[in-house]
Amino acid sequence: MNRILIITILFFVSFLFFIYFLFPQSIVFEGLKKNVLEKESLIQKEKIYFSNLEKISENLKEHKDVLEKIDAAVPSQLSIASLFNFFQKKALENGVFLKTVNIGKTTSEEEIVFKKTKQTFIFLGLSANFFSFENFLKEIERSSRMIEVEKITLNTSTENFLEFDLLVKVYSLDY
Amino acid sequence: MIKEKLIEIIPKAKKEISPIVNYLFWSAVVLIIILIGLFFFLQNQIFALEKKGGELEKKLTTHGEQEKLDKEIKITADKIDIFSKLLSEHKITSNFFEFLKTYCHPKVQFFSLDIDAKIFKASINGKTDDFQTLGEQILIFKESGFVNDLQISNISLDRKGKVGFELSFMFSEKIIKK
Repeated sequence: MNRILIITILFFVSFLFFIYFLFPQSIVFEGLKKNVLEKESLIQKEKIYFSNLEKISENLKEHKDVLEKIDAAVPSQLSIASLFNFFQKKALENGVFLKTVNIGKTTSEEEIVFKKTKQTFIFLGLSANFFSFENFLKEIERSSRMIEVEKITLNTSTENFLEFDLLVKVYSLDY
Repeated sequence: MIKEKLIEIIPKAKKEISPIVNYLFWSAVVLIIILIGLFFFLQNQIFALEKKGGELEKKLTTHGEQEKLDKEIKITADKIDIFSKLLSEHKITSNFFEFLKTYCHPKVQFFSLDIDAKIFKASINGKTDDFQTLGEQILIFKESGFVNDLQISNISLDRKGKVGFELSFMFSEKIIKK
């Protein structure tokens, strides 16, 4: 009779032990196991991602010259002094008299593709004969810098001498 | 009296424990041992997993050089993307002069010119020998296929009979786009 009581108590204690200790412990264990597996999978994915990045980086290094050209065309920091110097140099090379240079407003592009692009407007007052002006225009438009001529106003002052007003747009990146 | 003592001296027969009770007893003992063993095993495993989880978390959050590389590549990709888009939309406004050279009547003189490359609009002030030449110039522009919405205004005659005029029109973006 005594043994039966002990057996009953032992089973009951086992049951309580399972319910209050072992079962919660097993839930914690399962949760941690899942968490570790997720992290391992993430690390594996990151490993592949970074290995791809290194490959891309190596690839980009092979095209360094192209990237330098892009940097020159759309620089991260626009140097106004260097830009004015560029216009003056091109004007001199083409026999154009650069009378005035003014900087206009700087705006950010609204289009999503260009969200990090800034546009700076520059007004140029020039005096030249038509062919000199045309060469000057072609050179600045085809230069390594990304320059766009937005407006041209031409007025005749003398037979061979013309007055030009240009509104040009240059791009820079906001990085 | 003697009879009673004799009875007490003779050992009582041991009560036999039923094999089922015995089996159940030992089963219960083994079960409780297994459960305790499992408990310690799980606790050990949990400790190991927590340690491993911490190490993995550290690995996930510290990338240093790789993150820098990632940022650099994203910036470069952005630059390439922006540049290619800008290049595809790049306007060569000087091409408008090529258009004028091709479609300008030999007897027409231009004195002033306004080009707005943003809205593809041009206004030209000029002079011709007569109205017929002016008409021909308008026709040349219209038939070029590059001119729309052509309007003529400020027509005047000077003392020498020359005709002054102002032309404004919308031009095709094909003229100034690459």
